[in-house]
Amino acid sequence: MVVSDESLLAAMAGGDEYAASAFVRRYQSRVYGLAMTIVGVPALAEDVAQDAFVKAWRHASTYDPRRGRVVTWLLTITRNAAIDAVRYRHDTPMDPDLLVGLLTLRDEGATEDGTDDLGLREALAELPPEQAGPIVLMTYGGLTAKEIASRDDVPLGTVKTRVRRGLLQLRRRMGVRDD
Amino acid sequence: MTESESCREVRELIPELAAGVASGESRAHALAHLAGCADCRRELEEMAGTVDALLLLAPEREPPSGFDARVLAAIEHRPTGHRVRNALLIAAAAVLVASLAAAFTWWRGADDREVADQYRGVLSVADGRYFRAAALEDGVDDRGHVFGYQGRPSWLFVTVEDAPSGNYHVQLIGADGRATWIGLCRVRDGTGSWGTTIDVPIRDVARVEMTGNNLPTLLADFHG
Repeated sequence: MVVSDESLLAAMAGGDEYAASAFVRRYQSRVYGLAMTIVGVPALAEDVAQDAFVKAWRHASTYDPRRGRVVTWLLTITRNAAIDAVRYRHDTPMDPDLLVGLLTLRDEGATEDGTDDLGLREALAELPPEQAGPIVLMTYGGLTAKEIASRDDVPLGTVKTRVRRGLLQLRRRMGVRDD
Repeated sequence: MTESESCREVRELIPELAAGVASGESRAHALAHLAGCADCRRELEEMAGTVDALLLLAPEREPPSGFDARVLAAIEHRPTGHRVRNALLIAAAAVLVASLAAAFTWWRGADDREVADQYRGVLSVADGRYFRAAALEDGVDDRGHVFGYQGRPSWLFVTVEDAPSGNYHVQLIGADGRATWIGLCRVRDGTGSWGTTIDVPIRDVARVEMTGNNLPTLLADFHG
């Protein structure tokens, strides 16, 4: 029987070492993969991934299942830790076109847990670059619309419109699959 | 501004809210509108779901070998007090208060060094640095105590004895004179206790005031 993410997290919050170990093993490739995608340096990605798991453990008791799945909660923690690391080092975020290319490659080794969404991957690939680029800069790079406008020398209103239209398009293609 | 104009303005901010990158000012402006607009709330939920799903597209990669063991070691080396702090803070506070009370009582018959050891032991429970107590007074008599614990986190614990029953609003008055409402202490049959974590250092707490409808004002002066 597979223990649910929520049960593992609850046990981890209660100090269960076996649960913590199982939780880390279950998600380490996702967490490390996301950290690598954002920071691009293996040693730093490992630090970020470790930090993300420690933060998840510290805040496990505050996880609210009504606000999303455990995996997306954990990946949001990872993303924030990775963005902080990039900012701390004054690194520039990854080139958005390269990032879109990386995200839209079919990941043959992906976990077969139903969290991968082929429709979303295809939809992102089909978005015009002027929409996909700002979307990944915002969601993976942590840039605000203003920062993107300044970086790309595009009016702020144009960036906001492109990001919103792009996200709405992605949403339509994802279909209704929210839990 | 008509409602549709307001919606249009907020919907421009929704992607940044969903991605968690909106400035505090934008967030405050949008949240004020979202509180009363179900359509915009729905759009925010949908966009947040899309952003979550986008993060799942990052390719998975196996970390270097031994990664899981290093994470577990990092977790184990954290003081276990973290968990206590989150889940059992108030119970821990009550135990600490009881321990301190016992230490002070025992003081009469013990030498100072033993008392100091006891005090250090109490503080070590939650990374504490010092502990203060002030009498809670109604202007005439003592009605209890407020205990302030400087640690991680810092907290206040109120005990009320022999005071009129009712719900007391508890306010923290800072050294700068600013008052912050921090909670409600229920007093039943003349007694009550209540505690909370606080974000300011104990040394910056000037007073704790408790007030309520048709109830006396109870005051604990930390700088008195």
